[in-house]
Amino acid sequence: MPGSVERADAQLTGVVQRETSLRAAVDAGELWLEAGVAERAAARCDQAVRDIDELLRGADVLTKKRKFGDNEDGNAAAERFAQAGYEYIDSMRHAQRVFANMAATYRAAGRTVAEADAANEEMFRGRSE
Amino acid sequence: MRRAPIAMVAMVGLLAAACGSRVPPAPAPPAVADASRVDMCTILTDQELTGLGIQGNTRKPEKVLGVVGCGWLGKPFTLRLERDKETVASYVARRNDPSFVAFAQNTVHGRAGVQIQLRRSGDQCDQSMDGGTVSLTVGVAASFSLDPQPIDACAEALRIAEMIEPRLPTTG
Repeated sequence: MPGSVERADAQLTGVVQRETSLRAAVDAGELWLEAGVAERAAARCDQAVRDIDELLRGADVLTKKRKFGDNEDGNAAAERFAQAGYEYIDSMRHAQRVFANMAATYRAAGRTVAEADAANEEMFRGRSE
Repeated sequence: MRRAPIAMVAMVGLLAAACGSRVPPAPAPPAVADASRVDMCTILTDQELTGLGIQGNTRKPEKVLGVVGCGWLGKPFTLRLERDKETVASYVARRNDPSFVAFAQNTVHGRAGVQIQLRRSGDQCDQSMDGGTVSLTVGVAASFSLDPQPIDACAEALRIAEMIEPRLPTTG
């Protein structure tokens, strides 16, 4: 039975796939967002990255303060706890990368519209002169 | 017959003097005033925090497992400043704890300290220093970036601890 970290990783894999296909659509010019909408979506992803930094900060305190006793059982428990902590940190770092890439994708989708608007404006200005 | 006790006394005296000179008493660590009332949340000014790349408005108080302090977000690192009921000596006694990726003893302006790393990535470090019945900790961890700047977390934590140390209570 997969642990919570493995389950979270599996969910993240799905998010990564969606982000990859969104990015491909943006790059192909098939997907664009109004600049304000794109920026708001990107800002929410940036916030998620910061939230995870905060979670990791709290995890450092727990890792340092949790004591299991200096004996065979205590050391074995501490090693398992430390291992779970490393997996948690790796998983959270992975999630941050996903959110950061998602933010970049939203901003790229917003830029597409902004660039198209600027090009149109330039074209109309050229015609009216 | 009377010479023997005199000689014995002389020998004992010589031995005592010799032993005394061979094993000097271990130097006592400098006395540290009790820092159990130090407020780590306000020990650095907003201006100093900004200078370190810390965003003052992200301050979050924390109180967990005998640790009281605050945490902040920033670039290139996040920061924790804490007062901890666990002393430096008790961390030294736990130096082989499997949760500690790396452990080193050092000093901060002559004050006994320890550096503890808790992440395998090596981009995090806690610098604790002696505060008498408590320890005072500066925790530095690289904040996430798609384009990370490598940081020496222990050097940063020590640098910040050196900013704080002169503000801690002293004896006398």
